[in-house]
Amino acid sequence: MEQVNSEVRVHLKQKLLKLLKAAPVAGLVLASASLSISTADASLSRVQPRLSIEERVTNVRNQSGPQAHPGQALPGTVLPGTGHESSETLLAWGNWHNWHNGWHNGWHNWHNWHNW
Amino acid sequence: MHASPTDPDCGPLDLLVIQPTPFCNIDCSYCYLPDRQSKKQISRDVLEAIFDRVFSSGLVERPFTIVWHAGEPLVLPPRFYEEAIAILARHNRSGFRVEHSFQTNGTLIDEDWCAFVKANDVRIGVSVDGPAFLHDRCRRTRRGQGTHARVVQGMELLRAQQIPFHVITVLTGESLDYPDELYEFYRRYGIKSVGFNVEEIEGPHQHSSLEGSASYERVVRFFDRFFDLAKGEWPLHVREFEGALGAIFGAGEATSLRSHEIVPLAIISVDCEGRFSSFSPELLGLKSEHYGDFEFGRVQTDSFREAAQTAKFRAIRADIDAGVESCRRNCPYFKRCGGGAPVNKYFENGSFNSTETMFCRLSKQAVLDVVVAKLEHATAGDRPPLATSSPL
Repeated sequence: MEQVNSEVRVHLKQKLLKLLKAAPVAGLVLASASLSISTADASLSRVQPRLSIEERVTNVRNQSGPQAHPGQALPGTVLPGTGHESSETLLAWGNWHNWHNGWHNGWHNWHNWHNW
Repeated sequence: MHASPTDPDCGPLDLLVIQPTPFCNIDCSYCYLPDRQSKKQISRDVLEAIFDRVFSSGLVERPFTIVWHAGEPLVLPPRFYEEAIAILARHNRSGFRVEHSFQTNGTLIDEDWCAFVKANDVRIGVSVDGPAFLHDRCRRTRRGQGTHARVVQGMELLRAQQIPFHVITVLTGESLDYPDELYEFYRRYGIKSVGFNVEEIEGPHQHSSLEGSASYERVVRFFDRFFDLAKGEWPLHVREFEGALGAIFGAGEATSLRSHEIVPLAIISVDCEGRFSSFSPELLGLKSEHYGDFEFGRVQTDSFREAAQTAKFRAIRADIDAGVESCRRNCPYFKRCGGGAPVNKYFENGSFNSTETMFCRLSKQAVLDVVVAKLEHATAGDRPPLATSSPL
């Protein structure tokens, strides 16, 4: 599969996408370029919320410790860009990105002027 | 009530958006800028007035960012910006740190621009929508030609000069199907930081390929897949994930985030003729049946603090505040968001005094759902279902 020409792969993928979109295959989507269908993800549309988003946030905050801090409190391998980098690296996004994605990140004081 | 620099509800200034020219040399299909064919340029007098107003306003309490935007900034030559930076320096008597940012379509990057970026320590971002078959669908010249090859050329030049840059990719209904291809594109061109903007509905761009209830799940799946890709052998900083982490871990249990866009005069945007606005920068230059427009004054004649006392400013502020209050009462994501983006509320729902938008669902809720699920997975050691808390 890895040897397949990327243009051919894109073409095949486009064709399959059209087929899938045209068919009433509820809950099934393509999950990767290898055209695999994730069975875990396939049930997405049918899953009912167990907890509210805020309850879930509270849980992950609690499980990460009271001084939770991106890049420090979490398992180092799970978060993109946080494996071996300092929190300063996470603040590398310019302030104006808060406007462009509308997400003021809520860091206290000095973090606010130079977010992420 | 007179706005004061110590008033917690007004400023301080975090972001100054200056439109050097409304003109853009390309014509993207999803652009919200109404005057991008106009070749007007900001004058030296307007620049003097802007920086005079800014530094005498009392709103500058800490370092802030200037983004040269609302048109393609690189259609003006580097010497224009050298002069602008010199004018700013004369007015910045207290020596506040000011960071300059350029978001460019990348087609005009050349050796002179690289020299300017290096010499002035400015941030640069390139707008590119991934591989050519995605990028050239929307990002075209006025003659309908794709711009991908020229953008790639510009990025290669930045890389050759060892100039760090980020990219912004607009997510359309088409690109959601290609997270792997996007990741491979970023890896191929040495891109390390990516921000995803969903195709929004704003101003003259009145429809998005992401409209419709099916988009939410598609966006969740895109970010779910991209999260895994981004921690792969070519690690990527993804603005949305890092923003979500800030929202999850930055806001305390008893507090909520507060968006810049709802704070009066935290963002000031000025067009090339000196007209200024606040709140969401996209508002400047857009028309409104209800308010006429979103201009609050002109830097040549009006101070920002005076403008904040006008009936129009107060009416818009009251409507924005009412909308945020509705979010507080009704939205389960409020503590991790802070009340949404006014411009999206206005152009999607017809009023600032409203709540959820497509932008909220796709840029905030979907991302939070994915990142929280990943954190649950990391802390519990097993993969949870991607339970969506969205009302969809």
